[in-house]
Amino acid sequence: MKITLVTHPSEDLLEKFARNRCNGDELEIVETHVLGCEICVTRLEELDDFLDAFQPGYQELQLHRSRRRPVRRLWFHWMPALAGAAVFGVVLSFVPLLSHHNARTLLPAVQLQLYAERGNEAANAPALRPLHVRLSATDLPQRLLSVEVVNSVGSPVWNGSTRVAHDEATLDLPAMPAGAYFLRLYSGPRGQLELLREYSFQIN
Amino acid sequence: MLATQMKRYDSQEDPNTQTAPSSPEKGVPPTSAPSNWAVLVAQVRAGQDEGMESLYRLFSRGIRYYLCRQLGPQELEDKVHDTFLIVVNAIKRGDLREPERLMGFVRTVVRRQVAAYIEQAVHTRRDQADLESGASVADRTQNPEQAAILRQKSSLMRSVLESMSDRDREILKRFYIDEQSQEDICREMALTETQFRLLKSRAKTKFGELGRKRLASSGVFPVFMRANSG
Repeated sequence: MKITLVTHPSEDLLEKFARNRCNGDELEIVETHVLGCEICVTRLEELDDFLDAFQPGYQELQLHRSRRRPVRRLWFHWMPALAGAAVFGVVLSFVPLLSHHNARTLLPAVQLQLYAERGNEAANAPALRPLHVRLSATDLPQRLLSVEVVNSVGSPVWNGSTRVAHDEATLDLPAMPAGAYFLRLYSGPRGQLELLREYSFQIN
Repeated sequence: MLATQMKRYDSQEDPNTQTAPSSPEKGVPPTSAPSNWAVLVAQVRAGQDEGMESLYRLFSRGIRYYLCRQLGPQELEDKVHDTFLIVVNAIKRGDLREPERLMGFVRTVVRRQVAAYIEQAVHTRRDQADLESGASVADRTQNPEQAAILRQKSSLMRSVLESMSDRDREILKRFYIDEQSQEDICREMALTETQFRLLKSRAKTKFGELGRKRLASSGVFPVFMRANSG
């Protein structure tokens, strides 16, 4: 039997056929050939097997990876973390201040002399420094007295006691922020205190 | 354009000699189709067994593949046989005036058969719907066994894809999933046309080889491996 020129569709053309992407002319060529060519039927079956396996396999891969991926959180799911970060930031912002404060408290105390007479200018002391206060206590009873320090609005900021001796009393006050303060001396039992004298000073 | 998509081979081999297909980059081996259509058609027209056998051997697998692709595997052997009989009878009646156009003639017959089966199925569905309206809705969901097989197969293919290189997977994904054109893939991945063809072909081959190995080791090899159409 005489054998003549025979042609096979290219791999690309067979692939287009397997994926239903052939136009009319291409379809006629491939179909006509494939009906009589076992080799190309085998090639098409292999292509079909590949496509049948690859597409669901890839979808499964995507699904598997999305399951492994951490859950994407909405913005409000991050609120606790953001709040924590904000608190941490605030604390950090205070670190220099606290360090400064500690440094200042470690500094030697400032001497502050207070008088209770009218007409005297209010004594001044630097802010955030401990104070070693000397009180003029002329005419006061020579005994232990209660001490109260209030700020400009009358709120107590420190309480303690001091003993008057030789018309003078001394006490140590912690560092305080800037503002106007009043130091008051009381006598008598607790609950029946009597204001004896009031001093004023300014922290700058 | 189409001429460039067809590879030409001169063959002096026996038309019935089957050659195993090789990889695309090595070229496609010669086909086994005979060209002396006039002799074959004359033998069939004369009712000679030799001609009938040659005709059946030549077209049965292609017809089976085509019908299975178009209509599914239901009653496939009967449809192949019916189609073959129609071709033989048409040749005997002398409907094929130009023997060299035998392949085109077979294609026309097969396409008409497909159209006839589809029309018959449409009529059947309509008639059944008239008799029992609403009762003939087919359940197209997979049965538990099919679903389990598909899950196992998908899982195996996923493991195959995971074992491939990122570039191989990317090329296959772009071409077969995203359906990007070859030109776009080459441009975006900085590949020449030759590189793309080679990489795609190798990636497909690798996917097939790994898949076969995994399937063979999974113990479900016979279930997934296609013997032939249908």
